[in-house]
Amino acid sequence: MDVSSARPDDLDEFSRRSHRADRELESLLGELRARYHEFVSENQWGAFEADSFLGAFGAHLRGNDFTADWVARIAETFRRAGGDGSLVRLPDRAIKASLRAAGLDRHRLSVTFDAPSAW
Amino acid sequence: MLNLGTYETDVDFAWEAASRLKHSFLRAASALEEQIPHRNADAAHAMRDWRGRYAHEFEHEHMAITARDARRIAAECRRCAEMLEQLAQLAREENHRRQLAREWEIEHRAWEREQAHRDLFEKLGDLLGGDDEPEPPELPEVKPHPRVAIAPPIAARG
Repeated sequence: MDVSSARPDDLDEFSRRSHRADRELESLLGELRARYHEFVSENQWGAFEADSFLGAFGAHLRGNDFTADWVARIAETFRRAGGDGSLVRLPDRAIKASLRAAGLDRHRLSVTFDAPSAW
Repeated sequence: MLNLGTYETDVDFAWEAASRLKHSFLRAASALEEQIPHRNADAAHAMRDWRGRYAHEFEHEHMAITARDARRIAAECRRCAEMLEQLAQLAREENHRRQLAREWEIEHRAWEREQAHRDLFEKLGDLLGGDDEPEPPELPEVKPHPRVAIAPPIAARG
């Protein structure tokens, strides 16, 4: 039987800090999108296109959120099995079932995008 | 036939919006790059007692993609900033050309007025010694040309 072990508090700490870092990036991405639309609508000489890339930036942040949620769910599963700061052991199938129930039993993918261009 | 293209006005380039966008790209790139070591340290802390299949998946899939995509996106943000700067440079060059064309036009009109008042003997003299007609600027019209950042798409997992 495959078994995993972890300290739930350590995993939760990662999840919290990851979400916090993503909110900082989300704010910068929001500013970037606003500046991009401002330039594209105002500019009449030459052109710049980065729609696909900005979409991929957003997908990257959603991917980070997915990772943080995935880790938090695993922490919660360990905690339910009996521990916060202490080391807990759990069969992998229990973790898999918990991830599946939360809709988190999937792989994380790299983002793809069309290259931005200027002309 | 003389063709100076458009030169009556400066190019309608959104200078300030381009500068703001460029700096937003650079700020985003810096933030992405600065977060990578912090995220890696947080992950290392989470993994100090984490063992098993999911710890492996966390390290080799989730964190590997987090760091690799952050680097790719940061590099692309910097390339976008460079493209905007190159576009602005082309706009400056075209404005310079248009300015020279406008100055030439003023100079040439003055020369034409002067020619209209010259008598026959002066015009005959021009045939021998040249008429001093101002030469138009030889700079070609600057038009933005395609610039595409190199960003190989990565669709593979992990």
